[in-house]
Amino acid sequence: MRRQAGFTFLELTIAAAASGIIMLTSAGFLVKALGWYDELNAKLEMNRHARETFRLLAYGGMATSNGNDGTKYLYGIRGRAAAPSSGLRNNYALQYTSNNLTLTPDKFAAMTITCTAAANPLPDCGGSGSKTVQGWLGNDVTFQSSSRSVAGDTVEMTFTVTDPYQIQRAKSAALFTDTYRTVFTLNRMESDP
Amino acid sequence: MTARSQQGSALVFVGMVGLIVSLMFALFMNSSVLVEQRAVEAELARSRTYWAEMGTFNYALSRISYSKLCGSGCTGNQSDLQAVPTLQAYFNELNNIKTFSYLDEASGYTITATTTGGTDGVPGQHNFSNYLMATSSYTASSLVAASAGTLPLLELRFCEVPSQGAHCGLITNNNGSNRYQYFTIRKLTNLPSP
Repeated sequence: MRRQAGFTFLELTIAAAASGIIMLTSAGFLVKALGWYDELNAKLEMNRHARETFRLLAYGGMATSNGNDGTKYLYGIRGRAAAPSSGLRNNYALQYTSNNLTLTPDKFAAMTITCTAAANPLPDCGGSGSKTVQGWLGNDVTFQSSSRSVAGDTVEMTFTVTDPYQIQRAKSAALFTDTYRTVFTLNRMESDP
Repeated sequence: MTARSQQGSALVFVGMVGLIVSLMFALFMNSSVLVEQRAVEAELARSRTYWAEMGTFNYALSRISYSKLCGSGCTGNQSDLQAVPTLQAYFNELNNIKTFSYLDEASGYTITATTTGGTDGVPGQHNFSNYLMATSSYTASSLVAASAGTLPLLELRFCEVPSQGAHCGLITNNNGSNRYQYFTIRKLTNLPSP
């Protein structure tokens, strides 16, 4: 009988081991890539919600019923005589009130996030307990009308956007938290309605 | 070729192909993720800079509504050029709050928005046309600049008008030579990257 050609058991074992190492390395890359994808996707999403927040607070909005002045308008910060009190969120969702009208335009179904430490995973976590989350604002919207103002007619606004979906399983909560600032001028001469 | 002479050739081939594929994959991941990450960081910095610059524009427009472009009182006719220092003074009133620091991002992450006023500058502009403009610029800390690339530069062109709802006159005309509290925004433009 002619001698059979082929590979020895040792050769096949080494080839299989080499392939295994390569596949493990690739799998590691893939897992890491998924993490990067989540992070980038979250950043884009947070940026979108930041723009939405800026737009509502700068320009105001419109409700379906009439407010104190008989119109349906909510006036943006630039159309107000005084800045609103800090806060502007309800269960982490942007909630803006002006002219006795309230809009909560950027809200999703409630979910619960468990605090694991101070400022973790949500920026306003006290250390333990849980939070009901329906939006993207990690902290109260704040208005600095004293040290960061010109003659009391401008306010510096600061808000923090958080991705509540990603932040729960993130190694670093800061990766999914971004802060934005700008200065608004208060233009209304008469009292706010 | 005998079976003996083929020993090990499969192993070498599998190993080489695997190595090349792994290297290519690693390089692809590294470059694409880095590019994406920088793009997202840039988008973040652009939003922050845009709103910092818009804050200065809106402040000056509010000041015009409140005080017109009358620095030390509007006495007699004022040319466009004479109104520019007042416009600039309005921008300068924001000097103490034009730098925005993002300590949560990093200690060295700051964006400073500065705006310069001027006459419109279109060829043929009348000295009393009431056409003015403002151009924003920014100073970003090295940390921002390194990660963000080019940030937005905005240009605002407007004219003062005598009453609410009035239109701008021709830029080549004398449009009253008075300073008014009303204005019309002609253009708010994103300038091309330098």
